[in-house]
Amino acid sequence: MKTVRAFLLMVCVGALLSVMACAPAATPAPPPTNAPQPTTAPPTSAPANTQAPAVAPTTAPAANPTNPPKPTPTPPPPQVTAAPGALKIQFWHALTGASQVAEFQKLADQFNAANPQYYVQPILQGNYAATLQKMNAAITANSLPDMILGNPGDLGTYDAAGVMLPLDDYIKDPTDGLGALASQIDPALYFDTFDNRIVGISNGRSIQVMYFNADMLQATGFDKPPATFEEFEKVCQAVSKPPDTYCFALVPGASVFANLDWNQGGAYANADETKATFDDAAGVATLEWLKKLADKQWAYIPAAAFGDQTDFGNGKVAFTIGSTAGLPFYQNAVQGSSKPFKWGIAPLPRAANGKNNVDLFGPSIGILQTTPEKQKGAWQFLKFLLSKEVEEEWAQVTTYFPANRAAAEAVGAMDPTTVTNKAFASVIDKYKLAVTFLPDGKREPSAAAWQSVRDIVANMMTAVFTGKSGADFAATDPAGAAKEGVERVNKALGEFGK
Amino acid sequence: MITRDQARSAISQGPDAREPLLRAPRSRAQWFAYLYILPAFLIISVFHILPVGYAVWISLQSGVVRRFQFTGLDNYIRALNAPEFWSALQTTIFYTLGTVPITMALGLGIAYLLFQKIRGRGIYRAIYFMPYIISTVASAIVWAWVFDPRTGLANYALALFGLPAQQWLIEPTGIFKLIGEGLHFSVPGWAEGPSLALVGIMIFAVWQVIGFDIVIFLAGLGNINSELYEAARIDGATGWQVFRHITLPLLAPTTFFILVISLIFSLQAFNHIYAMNRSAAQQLGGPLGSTRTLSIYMFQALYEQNRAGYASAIAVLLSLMILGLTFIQFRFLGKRSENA
Repeated sequence: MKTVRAFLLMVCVGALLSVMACAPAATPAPPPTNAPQPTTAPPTSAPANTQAPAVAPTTAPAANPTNPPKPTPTPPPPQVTAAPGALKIQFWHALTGASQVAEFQKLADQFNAANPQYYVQPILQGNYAATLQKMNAAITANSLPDMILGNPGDLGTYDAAGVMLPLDDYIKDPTDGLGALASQIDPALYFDTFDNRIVGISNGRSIQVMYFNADMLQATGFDKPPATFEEFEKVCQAVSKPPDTYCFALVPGASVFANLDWNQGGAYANADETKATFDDAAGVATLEWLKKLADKQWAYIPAAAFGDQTDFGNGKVAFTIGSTAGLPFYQNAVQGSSKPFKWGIAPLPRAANGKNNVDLFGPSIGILQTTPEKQKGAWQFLKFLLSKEVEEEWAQVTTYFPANRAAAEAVGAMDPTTVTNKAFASVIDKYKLAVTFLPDGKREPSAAAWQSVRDIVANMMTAVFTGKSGADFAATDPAGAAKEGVERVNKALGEFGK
Repeated sequence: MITRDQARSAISQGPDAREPLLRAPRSRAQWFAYLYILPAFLIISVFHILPVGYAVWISLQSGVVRRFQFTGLDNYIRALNAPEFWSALQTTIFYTLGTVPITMALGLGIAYLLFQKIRGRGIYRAIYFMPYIISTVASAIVWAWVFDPRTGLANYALALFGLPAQQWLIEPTGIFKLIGEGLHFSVPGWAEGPSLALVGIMIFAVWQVIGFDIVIFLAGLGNINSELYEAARIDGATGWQVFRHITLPLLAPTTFFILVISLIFSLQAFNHIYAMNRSAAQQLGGPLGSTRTLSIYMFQALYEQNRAGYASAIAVLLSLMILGLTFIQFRFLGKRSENA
């Protein structure tokens, strides 16, 4: 009897240990696969009349593949200590990348050294969601920082609580305003306005682009990325070989949907951004297109965080959609794979007779209502961040596009061989290409409430793509889901903050 | 000198009914007694009682933080009329039913085995308790890898038995519907059961909490007088009869304690659901809301929708449910366990 019991226990323990010990090892990134071989299907050329932007896919450097440039090259510099009597200015941010943290501290140190009456303290609060949570707690406890970096919608949330400082008067101040800087910044793209008051200014934005595996396309007869939805489908037909290779890794999200909707000719939201409108023909067409990709097994939804990047790096998928802020990470993913390949970026596909739209996003900086002295110090630091030299440096660390036009032009004209930041140098050709997409830049609705409906839009895409309904979504057909999605979004917009 | 029986009798009788509930300290010893409980009283008041009171107050307001307006019971009425609330409650009930009884049954079984005189049982006990002390978030992320549809261990195990691969944490379809599809019969919508994604989270929860149940059951088993077992065996009782008529009844107070604690914990489940959702690249409560428990719903109402009053109302409702369930347990099961 004892032997049987001991045996049973050993079996149980064995199972338990298997899970504990094997799980991490059994779940590495998907094993690298060989680049797909050319199919027997006749190579298809993209129609000559399309207007795909000229894309310069880079050759993956083969000279030193085991030592790819890291996006975090700079060790944190020694921090400047506060001068006696310096006014402390707490800056809460959500820049989680090690290189960004180090660079931000370095910039604060520069400012503090030049302005000893102030002592700016950048304090990392976690990602944007964590920062939002902490800010809500800080607002409740009336224990606010002096400056905050967050998504525009998050700034709107704080503004609704009455804690944000309107920046209009500061910007226009004849002696201490933005002055010449004002003419360098496009207010429509880089200022965040709520209730006709400017409460946020961005020192850098990124755009949403389509990443593509140029080698995979070339192997199947395509020498440039698809510009239209139809061309995209043709490429998918040629490159997809499920379950080994897929055309597109779809990560459902509001930004992806909004961009595709615009490219189908839709508006996503009404003019005053109070209601969603994607239950129109364009919105339904967008969902139909996604459903087609799913039905043909050309696309899939990754089941792990950053799974799209991992699969792209391993050559298992031809297209992903992401921010240009991810350029260095894509570069690392490709270079880190066993078989590096050529890759590039392009705008998201559009309707044959439509125009390109590029979703412009990224964080903004706001100042909180504290004391006039602190507000003044925070304003000085914000102006410092918007200066040409600082913006140039910041762009190289983050691959953001500077708000300061002069800085943007300077970065755009940089010679890759003279750029000291290795991570940036490795993607500078793609960065420069992305700059050419900026004239098509467009922003999603930025009011605070829109941040709260992003999950609804993602669920709508998931329901249509997978054909499965759930507690959050009943409809799975494109027209029904678009209708349900708009109803749910508009209901949530109405309930926000109530 | 007061004997143990006298003390027990005094405790069980409670204070004299004629004496006032609160009275001024009469002696130096009483003053000291109040002084000793003062720190705990202050801590509990500041960190527990006041926040609860504040949450109840907020639940009667609407609007964003700092700009509240008193709206009475509006938030409660809205919550009780919201389909999302009932859906989250259903998910919470599924989660509780899928974790508490299984964890307790397995915990008791393994504890009973570990209580026998076998070689290396100290090591076994440590191993079983280990999941409970590992960081929830870290182990939840590891389990999300286990459930990865393409590279995870779970589908590998299914394949060994010739079963089809599953989507696990990204599958919103009910478990009974999936089984029905596999066996080629249709399951009506009301009988679909919890989503496979929720089942995956339940499996993790059982794995994690079972160590706690085992330790408590072991303590309970250790308190049973071994003479009872010897007497039963002399009388010719079988192993099952000993377990059924001696072990189980005498473990009743321990079982009752675990039941109460487990129910409270399961109704408050949050951390591992959050971590597994995020690790599987899902929206919080996803896929398609199929893992949204009341705690997750409350979190989303506060942090995503900025509805502090509404979120507080859900928190109060959840607390009332837990309180009600605990009261019912004490009322109907507490006495029985005491008698046992």
